[in-house]
Amino acid sequence: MAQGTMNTHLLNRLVANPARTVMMGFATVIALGTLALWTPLAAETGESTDVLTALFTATSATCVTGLTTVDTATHWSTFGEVTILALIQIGGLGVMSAATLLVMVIGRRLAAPANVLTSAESRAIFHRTPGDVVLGIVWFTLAVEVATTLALSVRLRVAYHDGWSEALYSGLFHAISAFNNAGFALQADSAVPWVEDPWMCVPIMASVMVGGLGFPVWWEVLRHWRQQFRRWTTHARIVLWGSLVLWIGGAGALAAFEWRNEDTLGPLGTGGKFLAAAFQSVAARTAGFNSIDIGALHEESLLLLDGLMFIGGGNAGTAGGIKVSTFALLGFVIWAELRGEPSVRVLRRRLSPENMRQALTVVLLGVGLVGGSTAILLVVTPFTLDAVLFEAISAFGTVGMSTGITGRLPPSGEVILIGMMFLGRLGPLTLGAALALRHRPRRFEVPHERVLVG
Amino acid sequence: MARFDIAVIGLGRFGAALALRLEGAGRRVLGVDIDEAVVDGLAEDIEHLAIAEARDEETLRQLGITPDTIVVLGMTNVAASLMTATALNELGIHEVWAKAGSRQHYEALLRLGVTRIIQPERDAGLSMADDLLQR
Repeated sequence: MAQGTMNTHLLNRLVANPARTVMMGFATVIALGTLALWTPLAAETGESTDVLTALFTATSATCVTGLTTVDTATHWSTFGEVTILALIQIGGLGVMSAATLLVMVIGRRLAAPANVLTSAESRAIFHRTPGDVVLGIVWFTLAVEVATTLALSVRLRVAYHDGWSEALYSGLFHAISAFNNAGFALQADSAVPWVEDPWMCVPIMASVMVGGLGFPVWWEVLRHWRQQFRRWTTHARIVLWGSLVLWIGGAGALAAFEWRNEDTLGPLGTGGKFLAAAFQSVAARTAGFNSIDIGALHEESLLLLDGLMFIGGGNAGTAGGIKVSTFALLGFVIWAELRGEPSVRVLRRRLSPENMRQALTVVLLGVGLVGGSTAILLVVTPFTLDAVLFEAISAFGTVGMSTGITGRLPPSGEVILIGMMFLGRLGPLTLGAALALRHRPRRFEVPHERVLVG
Repeated sequence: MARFDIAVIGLGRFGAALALRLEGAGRRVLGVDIDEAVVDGLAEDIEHLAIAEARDEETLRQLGITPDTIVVLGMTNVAASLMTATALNELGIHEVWAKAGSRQHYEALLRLGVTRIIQPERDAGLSMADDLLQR
């Protein structure tokens, strides 16, 4: 009972101003991480790293982005690497928990009191206590990470002749990095050494996919598996179908674009080409590992990855971006408008106008943010538009892929990217929650008038 | 200064005609009605319009009605008219004018302290009678 009251109290505090609560939490973790990485203990050389690099790395890790200005394996000591790992884990769990709790809160707030009983049946997640849900997330995370660690470690031990301790450490590092969609790697060239090795790539891909779909979807999947019940929520169906389409479509397009590129897919066998294309397509949303050289990709491939990175993954998971569901909603809106339908239908359900406006707001603010920071980066750096745009979207989508310019940015450029990573990680999440929770009861309405469009 | 000089609540034939004339004379008029179609129909001619069930204080306050606004109640529905008049009373509106559909309605409005009340049918009948008597 006492715990129940505390949970309700905690939930209420979170609800009072969810955006501020989540942002403060993240800012605190980043600050602590920066301090830890700043100490001489964290660097391989035993000298203290400059503050900006420490801040950049801490932000990148906590926001599970994966962009780095220094090479993770050579620059940081074991203490530094473990700090990064801890930040990734805290960041990933933090985002999943915070987002899932926000989803619950929104679900509860939006459900009319009379419907509470029925929604208890079909959307069980809304009716768990916050403690239960966080515990579920922790168990789920642990299970996936342990499985991935084992798969990777065994392969590293068997095929790459690492010692057991070394293989286990590397396996654990990449498993955590993959599940949390962080994309930090212990090699300077990320996953390039494993480009044609399905035993390494597939576990990483699977882990990224699982983390990126988002906890609410997995909750539903697990429930379906345990007990047959009526229907999938529209959200879960959109995320699952949308992700599938983006993975397959992205991989297919990338394979087609890069088939003959000597610096990327060209030298690989047919199977290797498909594996690398699939890996890259999955990683673009939003894990940030790369098994081929991103800098050597054709421009059309970069644009494709830009799109995938911007969309990102599922809600309340470890992925970033504007989220598959947000993107899909706008698609449904466009479809309804083109057909001249009176309302927007999504899988035999009607979309509320507020929901549409939320999606529009998140997407357009995202576009504005990426556009603005790209412009600033163009001014402060000597790089070309495609590289700078890629970098900006990669930071906003907390992806962490790079054409290789991250390490050569001036301090002002690094600051911009730090801001983008932070906003990209928390912006859509907290903005979405704030928009959904914002309820201004207006007792009157004004007359209609049409403004010309198009 | 009040946001509106005059608020007309209830935009039937009576209220709409009143509001249009006032707007035409350059007053800042707010027109309010529950019926969206009625309000939309006036949208071309009146700048400030609202669709609302303006029976309670909170709604009236949100509409921007202040004690200095002159409020005209144009609805014939007795319950709506009296409830709105009561709410306006509570808000401390100095001047409320109203239309009454029946004698009892008139009496009730009077007791609620409404400044000026007209009864269109009765008033029109009396005025026609005067015209006839002058022939």
